[in-house]
Amino acid sequence: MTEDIFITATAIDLPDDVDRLAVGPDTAFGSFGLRRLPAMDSDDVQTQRSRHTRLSLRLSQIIERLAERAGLTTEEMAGPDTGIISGSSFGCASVLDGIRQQLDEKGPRGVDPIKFAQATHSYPLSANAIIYQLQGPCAAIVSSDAAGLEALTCASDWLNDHRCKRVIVVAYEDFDDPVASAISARDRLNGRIGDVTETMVAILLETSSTAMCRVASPMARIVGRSSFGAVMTRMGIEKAIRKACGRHEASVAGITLSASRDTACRNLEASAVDAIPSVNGPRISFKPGIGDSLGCAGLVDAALLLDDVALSCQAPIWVVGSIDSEAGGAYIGICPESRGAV
Amino acid sequence: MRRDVLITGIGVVTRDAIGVGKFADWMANGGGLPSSPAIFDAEKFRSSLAYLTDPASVHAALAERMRAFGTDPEAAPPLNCATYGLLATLEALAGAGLVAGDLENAGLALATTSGSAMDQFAEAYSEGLAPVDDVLQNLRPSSAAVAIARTAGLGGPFANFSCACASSAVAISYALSRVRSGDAPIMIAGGCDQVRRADFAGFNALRAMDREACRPFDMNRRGMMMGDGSAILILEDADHALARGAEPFARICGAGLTADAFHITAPDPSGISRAMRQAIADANVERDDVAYVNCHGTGTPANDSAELEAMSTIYGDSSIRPMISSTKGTTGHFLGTAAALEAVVSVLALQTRQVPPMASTISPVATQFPMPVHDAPTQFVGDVAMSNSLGFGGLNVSLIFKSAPGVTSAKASMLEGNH
Repeated sequence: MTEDIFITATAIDLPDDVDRLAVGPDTAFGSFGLRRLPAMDSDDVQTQRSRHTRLSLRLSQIIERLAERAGLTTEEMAGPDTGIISGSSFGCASVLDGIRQQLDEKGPRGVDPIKFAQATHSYPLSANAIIYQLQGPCAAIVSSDAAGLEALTCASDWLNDHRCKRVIVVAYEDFDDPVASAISARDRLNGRIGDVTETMVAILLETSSTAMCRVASPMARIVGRSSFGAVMTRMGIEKAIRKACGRHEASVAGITLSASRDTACRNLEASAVDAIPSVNGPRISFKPGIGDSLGCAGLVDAALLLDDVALSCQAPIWVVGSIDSEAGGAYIGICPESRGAV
Repeated sequence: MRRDVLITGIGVVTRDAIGVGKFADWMANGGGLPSSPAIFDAEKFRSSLAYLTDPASVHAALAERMRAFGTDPEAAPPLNCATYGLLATLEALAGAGLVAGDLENAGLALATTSGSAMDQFAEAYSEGLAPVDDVLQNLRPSSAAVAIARTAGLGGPFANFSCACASSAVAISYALSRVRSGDAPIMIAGGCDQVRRADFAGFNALRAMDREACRPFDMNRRGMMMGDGSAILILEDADHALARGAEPFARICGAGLTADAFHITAPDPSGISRAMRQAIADANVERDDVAYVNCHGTGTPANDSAELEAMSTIYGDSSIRPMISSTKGTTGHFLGTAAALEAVVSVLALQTRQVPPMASTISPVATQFPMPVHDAPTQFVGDVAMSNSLGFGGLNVSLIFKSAPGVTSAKASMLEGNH
C-alpha cells in the first residue's frame, strides 16, 4: 500500500539579482543573458580536505539549510532511511571538460586521479552522502529542463517502494565553462532569448508516517505526477496535466506555467491548459523574475510557490510543470497544507 | 496494484558482437583479447588496451535497422554513442515485435557516463573556432537519449541517468517503476556509452586498469579493462505483452538501491549487501531462490573482495549457494552501460541455464561460491538471477530477473536466427 508523500521543506539558491516576487501570467522575454550564482571558494584548505568541489560544497550548504527548515538535525537524517537524488539539464561542468583539459595540458601522466574520481555527475550527491551518512538510494538524472521533476518522480518511487522514508530532491545547473559558453552558443543558434539562471534548489520529501512520527509541519502533499516524452502533442500535455491533478481533477487548480522559451512548446502548453475546465485558478509563471533555470525549473517553481503562503492559498491544488522542447516534460500536482503539524 | 513486468526485447552492441545472437555466442565461447582503441591513440597510457567499439563497424547495421523500422538512415544521429544506443534499441524493438506505431505511450530510461558533444565543443571553444550545428544541438548528456526517443517516436516518460558505473541499473529500476505503476505500458531501458580519451586517462591515473586482461575473482587480478557500446532491454507490462502475443525473454521482478556513504572510490560490503537484500525483498523471492549472481566484478582487488564479503554476509548461514560470475573479463567494463549489458547476460543465462565461461580467470580465489570454469559454459539449476552494479561514491544497485513461463523455442530460434 502506498502512503501519502509530503513536501516538508524547501531551500533555494538563486543569483542575487533575480526578483523572486515578479510573478506574471506568462513570460515576456527580452534579450539573452546568463545569471550566475555567487562564487564559492572550494579551493580553501578546509574544503580541499573534505574533498569538496564547488557544486558539492554548495549542495552541502543547501542540505544543512533544508534540514534546519524541516526541523531535523543532519544526524537525524543519517542512515538508510534517507535517500538523495539530483536532476540537471547539463550536469556538472567538471565531468564535461575538467579531465580533457588536464590531459591536453599535462599529458596522460598528468591527470589527477582525485579530480577524475570527482568527475561524475553523481559526485556532489555521493560526497554529501558520505558527509551526512545518507545510506538510502542515491542517483543523478542528467536529462532535460524537466530533470528536477523527473528526480521528484524517481524519489516518489523510492518512497512508494519503501526503499527509504525521506528523500532530498535536488536540482541544479552549473554554469562553469564550458557549459555557460555552450548554452549561449546553443541558444543563439536556436534563436532563444531570455535570461538563463544558474540555480540550486532542494526539496525534502517524506512519507506521511515519517512526517507524522516527528510531528512535522508539511508544506504540501503530492497528489499526482506525470511525464511525457520527446514526441509532444497538445493531447499528451493535456493528459499529463489531468493526471498530475490526481483524483482532484474536479477541484479548482492553479498552474505554474512552464513558460518554455521555445514558442511552440509554450503554445502547446497554453492550448492544453485551455482545454481543461478545472484548471481555472491562477495561471502564473516565475520566469519573468528569475529567468529560465533549465533543469531546476519545476522544482524552483514548486519551492517559490510554497514559500509564498498567500500565493499558494489562492488554489486548493496547484499543477507545477516543466517542458523541454527536445525531451518532453513533467507535471506534479501539489496540495498546499496549512502549516500546522500533521 | 503492482503490475508484472516482462522483458520482451533485448539489443546489444559491443566491439565483438552486434546483435544478441552473436553476443551470446561470443560469451559462450569465452570472448577474445582486448585491443588498442580505434578512435584515439592510447600508446602513451600506462594501460593501452580495451574492448572499445569501432564506430565504423556500426554504421551499416544501423542503416539496415533504420530502414526496417521505416526511418531514413540519413537521419542517423551524429553522436557515436547515440548510434550504438539506437542500433541496440531497434534490435530490441524488433525482437519484441514492436513497430513504430506501437510506441506512442512508450517511454525511455537511458544511462550514460558522460556522452555528449561537449568534448568537441570545448575543443573548438578553446581554439577559438565556431562549433558546427550538430555539436551545438548535442551538448547535453541526454543527447543520445533524445535521438533515440525521437527516432523511435516515444511519447511516454523520459529520463537519462548518470550515476557512474551504476547508471544503467538505476535507469532499469526507474523503467521498472514506470511500468509497475502503470505510467507506461512499455519502457525502453539501458545504456549507451563511448569511452572518451579523458575517461581512459582517468582510470589509468587511478591505476585501476590491468595492462593485459581483466581477471575477475582471480588470484592475479590487477584491475579492469574498459569497454563500450550499448545494451537495451524492453520492459513491458505483462498484460500488455500477453495481449499482443509477445513472447518474453524473462521477468524483471525486483530492484535494490543503496549508498555506502563510505568512500568515493572504495566499496563498502555493508552497502552492497543492503542493496541485495532490498532487491530480494522487492522481488518477493527468497535468498535461496537466487541461482545465479552476475557480480559487478571489475577485477580490481578492492571491488572483488568487498563484493565477496557482501555475498558472504547474505549467504553466510546458508548451505545453498548461488553460482557467481563476472563477465567483465570477456566484455570489458562498459561503465554507465555495464549494468544493462550484465542484465542482458543474466537474462540469457536464465534462458539457457548456463553461465558463460570466465576465460581470463585461470586461478580463481576461494570464493565459497560455485563459479563457472574458464573454458566452457557451466550449467546451474534454478530460475532466479541477480545482477549487481556498483558505482563511484558507493552507489549500489541489485536487479532481480526470473524465468518467464513459456519462454521458448520461438525466442530461442530468433536468437539463433541472429547469429
